[in-house]
Amino acid sequence: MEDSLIELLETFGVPVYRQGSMSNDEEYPETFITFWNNDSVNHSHYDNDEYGTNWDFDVNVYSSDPEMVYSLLMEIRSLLKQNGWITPEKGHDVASDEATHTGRGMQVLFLDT
Amino acid sequence: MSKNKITVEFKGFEEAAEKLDRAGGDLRKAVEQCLNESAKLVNSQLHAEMKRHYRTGRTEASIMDNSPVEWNGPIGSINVGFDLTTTGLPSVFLMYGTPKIPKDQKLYNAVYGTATKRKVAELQERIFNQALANL
Repeated sequence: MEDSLIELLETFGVPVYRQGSMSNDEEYPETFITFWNNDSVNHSHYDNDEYGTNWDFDVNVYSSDPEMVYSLLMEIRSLLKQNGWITPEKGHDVASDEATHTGRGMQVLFLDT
Repeated sequence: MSKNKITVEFKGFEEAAEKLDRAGGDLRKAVEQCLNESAKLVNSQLHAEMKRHYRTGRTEASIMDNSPVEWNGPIGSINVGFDLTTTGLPSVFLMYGTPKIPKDQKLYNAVYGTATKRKVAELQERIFNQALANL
């Protein structure tokens, strides 16, 4: 599921990283996306086996352009919804390591059956 | 429900509330007890996880331990977690990470995790069942 998410995020033509994976001395790209897998719980059980998996990810956009942070996140939201993802929010502020960039993130969910 | 608010939500809540109300039970009191106990559970988990991040104690001190129950018509809710308007802003770094700092998943799960949501729902259902049993 993570591979599917990354594939979709990469269609926006900016770097995609796992949240926290950039090294301390690495320079931020102008605009980029990060993701993080919060959880992957079983949806339900029957016949002594799991049925389906609820995937829970964070997707974040960071940019030196404050407007891009909002607009790209909404474009990502739209694309993910078109591909069956559930997007229960329109975003929240996230912290940036660099004073040059701001960030916004959202939770995205996928029921994989 | 906004991200930092808890409401009463468990399977069968509406039926239980109706039953309690019809039997003359104090529905408002039961809801307030649910919310107060739920907030106590979540915030205690947060305090436990914050021990690993202790430096000055200011971020942990922003955990909203004494939030009042708020009523919006018939819906009660209570705030939990860090108060970002006081000293809680560093919690955003911890709960969501940054491109260079991985998120603290255990801290995040203390509020938003599946196990926490399940514990809160079970607690609330127990309180309501007790209220019904006490009639």
